[in-house]
Amino acid sequence: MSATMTIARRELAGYFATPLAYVFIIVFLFLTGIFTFYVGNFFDRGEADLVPFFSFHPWLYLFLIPAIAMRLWAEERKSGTIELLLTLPVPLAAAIIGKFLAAWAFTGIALALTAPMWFTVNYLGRPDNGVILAGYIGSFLMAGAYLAVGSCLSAATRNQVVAFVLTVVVLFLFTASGAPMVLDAFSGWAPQAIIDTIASFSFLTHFNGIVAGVIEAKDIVFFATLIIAALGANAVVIDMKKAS
Amino acid sequence: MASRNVRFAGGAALALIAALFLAVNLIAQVGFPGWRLDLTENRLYTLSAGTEAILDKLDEPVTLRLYHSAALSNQFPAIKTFATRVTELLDSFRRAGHGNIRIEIIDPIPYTTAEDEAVAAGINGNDTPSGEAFYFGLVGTGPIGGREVMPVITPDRENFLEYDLAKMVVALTAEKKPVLAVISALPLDVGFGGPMAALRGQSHPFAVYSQLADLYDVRMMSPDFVEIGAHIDMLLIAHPPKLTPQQLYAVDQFMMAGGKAVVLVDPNAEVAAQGPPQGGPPQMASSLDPLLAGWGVKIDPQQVIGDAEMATKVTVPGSRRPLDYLVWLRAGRERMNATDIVTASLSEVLFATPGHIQKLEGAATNVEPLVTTSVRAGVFDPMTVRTTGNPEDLARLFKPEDKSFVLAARITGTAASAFPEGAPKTEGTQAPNPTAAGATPAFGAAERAPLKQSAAPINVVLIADADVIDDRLWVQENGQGASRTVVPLADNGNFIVNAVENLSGSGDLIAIRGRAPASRPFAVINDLKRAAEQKFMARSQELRAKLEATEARIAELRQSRPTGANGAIVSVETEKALADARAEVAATRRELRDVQRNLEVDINNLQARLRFINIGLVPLAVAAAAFLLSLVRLRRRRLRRGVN
Repeated sequence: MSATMTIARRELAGYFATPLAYVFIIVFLFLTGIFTFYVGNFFDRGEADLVPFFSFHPWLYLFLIPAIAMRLWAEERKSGTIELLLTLPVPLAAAIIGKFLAAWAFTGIALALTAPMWFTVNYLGRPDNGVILAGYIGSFLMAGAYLAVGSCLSAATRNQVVAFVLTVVVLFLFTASGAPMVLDAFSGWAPQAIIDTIASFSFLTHFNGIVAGVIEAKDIVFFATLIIAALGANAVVIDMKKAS
Repeated sequence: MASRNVRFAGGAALALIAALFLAVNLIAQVGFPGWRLDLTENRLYTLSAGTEAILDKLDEPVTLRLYHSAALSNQFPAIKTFATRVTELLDSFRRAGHGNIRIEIIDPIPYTTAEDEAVAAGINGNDTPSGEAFYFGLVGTGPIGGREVMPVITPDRENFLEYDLAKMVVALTAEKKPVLAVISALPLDVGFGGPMAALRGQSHPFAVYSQLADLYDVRMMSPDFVEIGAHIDMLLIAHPPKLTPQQLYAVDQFMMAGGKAVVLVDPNAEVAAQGPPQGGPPQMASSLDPLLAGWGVKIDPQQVIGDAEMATKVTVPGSRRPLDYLVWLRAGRERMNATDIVTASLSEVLFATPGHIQKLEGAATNVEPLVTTSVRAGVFDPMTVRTTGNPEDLARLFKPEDKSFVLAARITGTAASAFPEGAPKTEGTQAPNPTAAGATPAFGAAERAPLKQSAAPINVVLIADADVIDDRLWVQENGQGASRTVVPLADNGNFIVNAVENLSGSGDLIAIRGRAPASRPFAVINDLKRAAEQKFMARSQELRAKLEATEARIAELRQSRPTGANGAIVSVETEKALADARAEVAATRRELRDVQRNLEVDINNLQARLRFINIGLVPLAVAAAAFLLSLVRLRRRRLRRGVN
């Protein structure tokens, strides 16, 4: 455990040693603001809630999270430091979880810096803060799931750009699987149960439920198992690459 | 070889992980759908105590059959998500029903017997782009053969769905509905189009009436009634016509026997002016004198209430911006009595030109206000309101009285009869019907001994406005004919139904209704708007007065200017005064325009500030922090290098 935390702490400190982290945070904050106020018409709606703020998160994360995740393992492999890391007396699981937790904490910091949005709606009106809290929890969980998938795919290649593109594609499939055009492709031949299952594996389905203010067991299970499965796959991929 | 083995083992492990992930999630989907943490303020997604009480009391099975075209709903993602919510809600009902609620979900696939069954059950199909009919409706069947149908379930009624379902369960299990008698000058049961138009589907009952008819055995009293039957449980007196002494006596005696009533009387009922003229002007005012006096209250027919804080925004022709209409009042949660069950769960009720309730001195009854105005309220003459169409004119006439008025109240306790001398003398034709032998005499019948004081405490919900019942104030209609649905925009219907329901003694349903998420407006911006408008009104009145005065001065100067050739020399001063006055007119006009233009400047400034803080300031702060940090690091590195 302590090995995991040590790695997580070192990695997180590493983020802030380069300007990249700040650039990411600034871009994230700037984009959420632009989307909320201009695309989401925050003031025109006149409702004291954060619906226009949260509704763009799945799509923002689709491009921003792969940018964080791409370097998690691809960079280590390219620079050869992965061999060094794997010879250290720390279990592989600790390295994977530690790196993931650092990246997740980093997105958490970026998310926490959007707090002025929360203050803004509380200043303007009397929002349902329970719903907003649920929105933040949902957004954080979704970021974790995106990151875990990105971490796994980053281990599969030594090229960061390839890792980025792969992650965007896979996440897009996960996000859009609840959208009608995806389901239509199946509706001609697959039974309803399968179509419902596909829809239930969409990020949107689970995230929208939480953002409405209800945290359901199946949503938590979805995000938690996706994180665990992706990190497990991450370990398998590293093992496979180590052997080859 | 070894590498191939690793690859094979790795592939197998990845497949296993994927399979486990799928399996766990599939189990989670169906395994524990009930577990949830509801973080919403009003517990919107948790069954309310009222529903649980209703379901607890069930001792016979009720079947709820949901017809949902699941296969077709892939084309409508929003409906699909909503359908999940509906099935989950039904599932919560099933669990809370301790085995007495049975849920069946049927997919009426096109051209199957299931589709025929859905159509026969009264479920409405909507055509999809692919030409097939999409069904989403509910049929409930009760233990005593009762049947209730929800032909379409629409997402915009999501917030009321729990109430609708609970109401269905109550209706299916009730052995006998309470009898509610309605006395009204308004065609509540058929709408203003009249019975023939209602039969053709061109006219509809008032939405409140339909809601009440779902729950009660509602009987409209004929205009010439002389008695109130002994079987009547409650009265709804909504904008009553002018009642004869015998009719007043019947109502009085009903109340003296411990009667329950919801009463709406109005010094200016705009709703009455809606119908086609039927021989004479519409009855704009109603009163229930002298019964109200007996109950210890009074509604002055000469006073209509205006309130600067509760005023509704309206758009009038010729004005580019919405104006405050002082006599249409929007009563939010803060204006309601939070401790009375009738108003505790309401979010917003709209009143139009209401009167106000005053307690009479020495009254023995208990008068508990339910809805009150703000302290920035005042009175208008109803005639002025009827003749003045412009909100700005009303605003000019308005004099706030620095006190709040009571718009609705609950009256309980012992009341005095308005007929201490017994039944009024009736003319031959108006004599009450003789009571059949063995039957309980009706209220107001000669066979019943007159009561001079209430034998049991009365219970009245009195509202000094009839317009609250008007659909136009609170309902939005969608669709036509059988697929017509009504979506409430305010709680007016809930207010009346709550009141009736509370008097009928079934409080469980009240605990469910009013769970609609309250609208959460930007209070700060609204306050700014209001302040800006007041400032604008005051300044524009000032400037207009100045303009008028200057224009009058110009006219005067023009008149005093001597005409003819001889006047040219004398009028130099006059000419200068005229030019000055003209310049003043131009300046005043400019200022007036500026005041108008600056009306929303504060709001725009606030929005710009907030936008800057959220979009620009925080990223700038992060950038500054990064810059400072890098400077510190650079310095440290240099120092270290220096030391080495």
